[in-house]
Amino acid sequence: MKAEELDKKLKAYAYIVILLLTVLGFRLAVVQLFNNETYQTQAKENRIRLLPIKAPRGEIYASDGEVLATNEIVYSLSLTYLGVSKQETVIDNLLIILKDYYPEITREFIEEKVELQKYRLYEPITLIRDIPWDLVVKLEENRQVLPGVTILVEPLRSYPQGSLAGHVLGYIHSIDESELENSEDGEYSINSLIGKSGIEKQYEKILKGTDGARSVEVDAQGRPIRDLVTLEPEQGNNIYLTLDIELQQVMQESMENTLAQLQEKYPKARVGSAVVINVKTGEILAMCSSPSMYPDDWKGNISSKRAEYYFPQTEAYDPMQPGAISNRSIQATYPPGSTFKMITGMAALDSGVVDPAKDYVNCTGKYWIAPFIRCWSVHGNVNYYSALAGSCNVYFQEMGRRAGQEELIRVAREFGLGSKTGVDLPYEGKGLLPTPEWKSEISAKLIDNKYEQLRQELEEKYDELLKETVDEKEIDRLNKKKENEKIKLEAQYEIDYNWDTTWQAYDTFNMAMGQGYNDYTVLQLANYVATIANGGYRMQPYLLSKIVSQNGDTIEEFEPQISKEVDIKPETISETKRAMLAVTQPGGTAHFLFYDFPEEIKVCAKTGTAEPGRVGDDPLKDYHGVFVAFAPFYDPEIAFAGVVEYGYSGGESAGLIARDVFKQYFGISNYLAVDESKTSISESNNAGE
Amino acid sequence: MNLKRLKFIDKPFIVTLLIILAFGIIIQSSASSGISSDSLYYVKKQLFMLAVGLIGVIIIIRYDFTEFKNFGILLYILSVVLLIAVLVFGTELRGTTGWISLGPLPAIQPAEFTKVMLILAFADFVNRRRGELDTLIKMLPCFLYMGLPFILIMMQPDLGTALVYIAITVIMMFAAGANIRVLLALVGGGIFLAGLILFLHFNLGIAIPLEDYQLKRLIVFLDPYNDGQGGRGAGWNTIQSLVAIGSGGFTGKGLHNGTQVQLNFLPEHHTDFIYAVIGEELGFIGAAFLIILYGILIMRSLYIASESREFFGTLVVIGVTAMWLFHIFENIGMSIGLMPITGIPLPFISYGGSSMITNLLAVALILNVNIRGKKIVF
Repeated sequence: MKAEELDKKLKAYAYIVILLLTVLGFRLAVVQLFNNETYQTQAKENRIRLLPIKAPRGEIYASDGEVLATNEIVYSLSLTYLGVSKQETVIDNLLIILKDYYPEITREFIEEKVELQKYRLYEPITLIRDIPWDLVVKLEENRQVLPGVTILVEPLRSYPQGSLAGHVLGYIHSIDESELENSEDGEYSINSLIGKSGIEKQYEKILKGTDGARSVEVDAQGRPIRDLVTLEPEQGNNIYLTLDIELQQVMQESMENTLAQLQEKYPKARVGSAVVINVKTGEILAMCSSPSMYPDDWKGNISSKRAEYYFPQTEAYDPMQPGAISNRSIQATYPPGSTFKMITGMAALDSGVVDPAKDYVNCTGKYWIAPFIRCWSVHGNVNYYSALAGSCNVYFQEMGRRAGQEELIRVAREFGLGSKTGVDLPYEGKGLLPTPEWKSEISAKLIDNKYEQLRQELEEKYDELLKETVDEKEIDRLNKKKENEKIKLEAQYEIDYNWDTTWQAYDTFNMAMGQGYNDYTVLQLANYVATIANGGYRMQPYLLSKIVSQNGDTIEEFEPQISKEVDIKPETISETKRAMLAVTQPGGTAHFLFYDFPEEIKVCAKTGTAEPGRVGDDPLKDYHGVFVAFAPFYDPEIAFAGVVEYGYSGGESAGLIARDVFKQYFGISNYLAVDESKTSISESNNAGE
Repeated sequence: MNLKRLKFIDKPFIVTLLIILAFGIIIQSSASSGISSDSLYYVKKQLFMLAVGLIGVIIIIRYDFTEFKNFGILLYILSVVLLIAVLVFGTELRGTTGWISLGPLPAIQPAEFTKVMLILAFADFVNRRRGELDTLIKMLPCFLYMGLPFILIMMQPDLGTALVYIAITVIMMFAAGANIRVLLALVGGGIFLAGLILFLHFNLGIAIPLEDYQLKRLIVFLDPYNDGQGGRGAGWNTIQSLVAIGSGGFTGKGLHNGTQVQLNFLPEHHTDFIYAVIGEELGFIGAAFLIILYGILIMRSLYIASESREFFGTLVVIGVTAMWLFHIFENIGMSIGLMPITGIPLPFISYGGSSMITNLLAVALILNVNIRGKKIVF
């Protein structure tokens, strides 16, 4: 090869080298100089993480300042996603350590949590809240095999009073997908806890506070290297409830003791709820529902054993395993039984069809009009006072008849029965005030269903017969017979339909005694009695008394509100109060409860028993005990309503609770000091888990 | 060894080389500082390898390069034996069986050393056929000669290093006067064929005897976020490297201040992706400066090649430049998203003993040709 030829080749090669290096340089310039900003942002996103700092929730206090819900600092185990391959071994290592503490935590559980957070993988995933200290130590010791596992120190709700006012407070739990979707952007994350019931849910916005954030520099493994900027979290506002903690405690303990005693005789007596209202303001002073709610159960992962306590796993309702989840004082509805009789009395009095003192009705043990509903006793001649005192069914059936169902319904409505009270708690039940329209609608459906089935059965019967027959004559005969039966059936349908969908006299009688279709919440009953007590002002029952900021400034204070001034003559109400007083006087059904009360604290009350009508109940024995009361007779202060399921009698179940609460409120005796063993109620409660 | 000959040494070449080596050590001190508890551990090891390499240089320049011709076949056989040995006795690292341990000595990568050995062997092989390489048939022995080591390396499998051999083969044959059209047709055809196979495989599902993840790694640089894991899988390295270099800007974030490097977002940052460290911490100034340095180094090498006393020396130097050029273009190219990711080191900069020693031995060959150039008259 000649030298020039080689030089030419080397030159060509040199050009190729220059070309390739220029390509590199050009691309380098594009990346570094023209796309610099994009990549700078990306580098920042790579290394800077915004980690939320949980804001402590606002505290909840009883009216006297006793703490009902606060926050404690806990250690939470969380996991930062490191990519699929690394994650596997980290989870393996983690499960080995967790095995001794949380055997129920599985790989699937963790993977599900990771999956839930797939769009925010840079945020640590909270696996277990409130882990014990020795687990913290163990995890720290095994740091090097657990990259991405971090222990967060965060505030967590705690309820220092255990189950006290548990249902009122409600509980907080992990936010669910729909709640997260419906929240405003940035308000919650998948790791958030949110109020699910009670005050915690009702006042979530006030209690929640504003989460802070920490901007942290992290390495590729997501390990924080240093803090950059911190935005402090803002604790939610504190709230004061109207609850009187002492009264609440007495009521819950008395409820537990009463249930325990009743169970000896009536094993199904396991559920009860009661409410005490300040009759002048509508403030709820105490509200309980048994079986009790322990809000602390809910803030972490609820164990399956504990979940059964709240949600029994039986298919049909089993009175022996009632489940503790609902606040029965506002969510459950019960027939009021004889506690409805004041409504009947007032309807009669207000329409002027009876004189409370002078008009007597003779009770011979059953009403003289069909269907001759029995009275539980033979009362002889009774007027309004003695009839209420003895809870005479004959007298009130007669009053119901005289006043008419329209007036009964009107008066019941005036007192708020069958409509939501508007209390500041979620999931309040409405109950049912039966009206002819309601009866017509529901019965029409029932009767149509029934006859639809009968018609079908008839068709099937004759189809079967006709199939087996070949004889022409016989077929003819069967067809005629079928036609006849059809006509008969339709005629019967007409009769039944008209009868069942029409309000009948006995419907009025049943209603007048508080049986039949009546169905109300305990809170409605309490408010109804409170309205009688204060002379006709239906107050708005409420729990929130004021909102206070973290530096102690009152942000908002809540004033009593009148929902409605009832349209009932004042003397009707005062006569009814006198009749209710007679209930606690000698001869009255509640005399045994209040005979030892001082003269100046006379109690007005009414007992009731209601047929629960549940499948499997014994119609002779299985009654709910209902009790309502207020005191003192002169210038009433508080009103009580309570139901004990399967308590048999109102006075001997809910009445006992009313007695204990009233004694405490008026300082007659201190229930909490009477018996030391009674104060350990929370322990005996826990034993029932 | 005649020390007098050292005065003929090409000064621009040696100065450029020294600057590159210093550059490498400086950037290594930042790139590897967070890997070991001793922040200078890798720098020290690299300096030690540099010293070992220099001893090699001293030994090699003692002999006249023309003597190496006689060892052509021997070096070839030794290379092939080594490459077979690594397949049999080698240890696997990241899916490639490229390492071999010799007792207490640190593990070596034979495929690095065989580059220099095969450059010498092939220079001898081609030199004998100079001027007779004008048809495909006549070129065929050359392809077969280099084809064997190529296949052995593909069996490790180490595509990146194997491609270096193709670059060396083609460029040396080009310098030796081989038919350019045939060479261009082969290279162009090869690239086209590879592209076609990949296209057919991924778009029409034609089966090929390679795992999908290996293939994906080859093409993911075109669209690194489309790796099936939103950029957290095969595309991760390309993305993080681009972010590192891109965020460096004109002047860089400063030595030790590259967040992508120091917080470990950038993988392999003291070995394969060291160029991204330069780009992030020293910016466009530093990164472009290194490209210019490499340019000067190769240009001076070509000058030395042209001044060689014998054509064998020219071929050896050309072979070395071909090796460097491919390493530089591929390594920097993958760092800036221009080339697929194949783990081959950046000469004189990436951490790694085998690579450092190999490149210094290559320098020794160039210097050997240099100081025994035709201009020297005694």
